[in-house]
Amino acid sequence: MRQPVIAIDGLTFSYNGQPALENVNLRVAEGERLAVLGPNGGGKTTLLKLILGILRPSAGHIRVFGDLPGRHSARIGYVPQRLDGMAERKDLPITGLDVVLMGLLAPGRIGFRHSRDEVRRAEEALAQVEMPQVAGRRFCELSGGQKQRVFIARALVSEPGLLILDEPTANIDPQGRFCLYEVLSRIGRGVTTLVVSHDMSILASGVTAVACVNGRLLHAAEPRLTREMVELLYGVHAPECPLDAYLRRMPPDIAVPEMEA
Amino acid sequence: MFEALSLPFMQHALLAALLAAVCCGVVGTLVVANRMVFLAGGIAHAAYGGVGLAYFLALPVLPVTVAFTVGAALVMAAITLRRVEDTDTVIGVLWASGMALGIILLDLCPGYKPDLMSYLFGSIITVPVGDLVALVVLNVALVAATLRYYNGFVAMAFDREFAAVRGAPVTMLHYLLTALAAISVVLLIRVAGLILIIALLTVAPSLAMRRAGSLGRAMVGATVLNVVFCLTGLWLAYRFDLTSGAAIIAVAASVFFLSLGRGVVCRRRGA
Repeated sequence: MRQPVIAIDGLTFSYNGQPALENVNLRVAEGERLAVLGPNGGGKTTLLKLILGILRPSAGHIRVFGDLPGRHSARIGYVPQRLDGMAERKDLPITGLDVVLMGLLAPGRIGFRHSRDEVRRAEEALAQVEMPQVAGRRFCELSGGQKQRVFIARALVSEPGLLILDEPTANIDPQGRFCLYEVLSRIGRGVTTLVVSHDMSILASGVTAVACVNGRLLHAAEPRLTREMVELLYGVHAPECPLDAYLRRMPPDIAVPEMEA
Repeated sequence: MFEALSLPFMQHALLAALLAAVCCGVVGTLVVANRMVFLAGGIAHAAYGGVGLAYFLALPVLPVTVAFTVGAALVMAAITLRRVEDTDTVIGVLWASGMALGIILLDLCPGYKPDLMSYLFGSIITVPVGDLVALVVLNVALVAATLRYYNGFVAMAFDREFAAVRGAPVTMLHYLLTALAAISVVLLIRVAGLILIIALLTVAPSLAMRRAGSLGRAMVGATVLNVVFCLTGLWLAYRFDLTSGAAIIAVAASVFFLSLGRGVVCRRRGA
């Protein structure tokens, strides 16, 4: 069997003694497209940051491309969650193309200019997300959805072996003709992908497997929630509770129906 | 005005102004882009502790102040990196305590008290040749470092976490930028004074960044603006016998507020 792209064993992570993730085990095989679902505060972003090497585990092991997280940063395309902080600023003179070119940063890279080939690749990445017109525009003038697509192009430009997207559907322009789900299902074909969301609609973006995170992690090899996963995400509710009936009525292509389970 | 240019001290002052313009254009743009203006203010004031230390130990002012200020700046940089919540408070305390240390050390100095006003408000007319040489060296180092790490600096300003994930040396760049800012501040104390320096570091970069297409062009634009501010300020200082540092800052601030006012009017009109 080929080495998995991501291998996590017995991972625990605590913030100030409060465990955010406990005993997480996960394998992501090459070419797999995994959706990671979970409520806000459930530990999804923490899991991503551990995989990216931004945070270090309190216990357990993570291997990315068979190595410690952070060692193969140049092979990972990362689309961060919010456009918060620095990227939200109005005064930075940075164009859409500049932002995409940041995806070519690598350890030890120095110098001022980008080669003609790099600029061409950045323009192609913008074309892939249907945004060639923003190459010369200031990033801060773009809409939330446009920024999100530029960030996806920034992740794609390095032709990554692993694509990691944190809440990519959080900034969709409501009336945009551009369909993010269609693009997500198209761009990552063949590329190992990890897409994190609190929104179940992400299951419709061409994923091949699903994991649910809420303190602990459950994995299913098909893009359909098991009953146990539904309970992990939404909790167990008494029969009088209206949510109980709602959860039982979830469509069979999203959650495994009760009679099958 | 032209006969003034034949005077050696005026030529030195002009040269100092041009060198300061480049320095503030480049470092100032990086400082403003990385939202380190408050940090730079803290560095500038803490530098007074270095001045006090130099007089107290009866050592040459410039090297001691550079060493002290870079040290204080690196402590502030470490705090900015680690503890995000109360960074402002800690920098504020270091800002004041650096200043207080300088004042106390100068009080303890026996005998002659140097004219400290020139450190606070600058005295470009009396810039010694040694300072000019130091400024030239600094400018060369500054432009070289900026060209070498330009992409890293831009990515750090825009999205620090992403830059780190891509393997850019963000922590090193953060310390490097802070150290460059500290050295610039010390060398510019003679030009603008440590109280006024913050305006030279921020006004032109923020004006240039609003219109430029890239951070690099903003650096060039900020340098040009700073040259205009410095030359106009120097002329006003000469013509009306004003303190040169204050005159330079007054010109910069007037342009800044005119531009700000124009922006507000345009936005009201929906342009």
